[in-house]
Amino acid sequence: MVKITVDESDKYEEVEIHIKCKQVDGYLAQVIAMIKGQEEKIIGYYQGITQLIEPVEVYYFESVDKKTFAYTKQEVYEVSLRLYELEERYKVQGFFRASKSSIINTNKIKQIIPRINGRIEVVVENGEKLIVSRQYVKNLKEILGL
Amino acid sequence: MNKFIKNVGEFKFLTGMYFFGIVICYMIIGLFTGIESISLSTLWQIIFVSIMGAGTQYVFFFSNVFKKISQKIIACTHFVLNYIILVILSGIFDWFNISYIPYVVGFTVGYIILYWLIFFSFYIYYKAEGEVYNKKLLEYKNNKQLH
Repeated sequence: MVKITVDESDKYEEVEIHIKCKQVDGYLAQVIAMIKGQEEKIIGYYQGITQLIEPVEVYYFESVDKKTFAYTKQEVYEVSLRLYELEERYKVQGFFRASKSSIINTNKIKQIIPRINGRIEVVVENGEKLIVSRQYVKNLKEILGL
Repeated sequence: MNKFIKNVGEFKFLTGMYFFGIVICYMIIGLFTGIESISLSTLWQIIFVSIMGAGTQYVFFFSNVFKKISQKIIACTHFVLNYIILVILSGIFDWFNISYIPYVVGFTVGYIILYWLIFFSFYIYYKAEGEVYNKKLLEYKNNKQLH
């Protein structure tokens, strides 16, 4: 278990996070990246309004006609970043490239169904079924530690 | 070009698997029927059948041609198409007299049993694989929550 100590005081001008550990392992690297990632919310456009989206809210990203979309529980936002940029930026938060045109959030996967053709069908929490192409199955395996 | 090379590689692998599978079946049947060798013409026939089998499997299950169609419909169409191909090849290569009904019935029963046996084996395999994936997914999520 991780011991968390929060020291609240008026004497502090800025928020500082100190991590004391023997070694930075994969999990810690992820935590650090997530803390840093909080500063990097996704800028999404929905019905002409610019909004900030928490990456954890995104089920998956999809590229359609050279435009990138972020699918959340309620809305579909258009985002200005390209898929490869999103992949790089949010990889540590559990996002992985599932096909040439999509990136899936592992945390939002409800069920994984391997198919006879080597592809994998993924059911996300909103019930949508997405396909992980054969060439990207290794990404999912890597995240799950298979 | 890379995609083409990759596709050719996959097709070659599938054809090889079919060839190997048929030769093994032929050997097992040979044990009971006393066949001790395979003629060159039979080998060519096996190669031809392997290419046809791999071709239909590749198009139906591996390519993106029927990406949007349900797996059940694909499997049923593949089942029927392969049966038709095999009956035609039986006529061409004279494996049995396709005008003699008992032979056709025997072949059909054999084909149904073998096809569904293979299909069921794959079903069990992928079901087990799915369980492993979902177990790992649960572990992944629990691990994240714990931390």
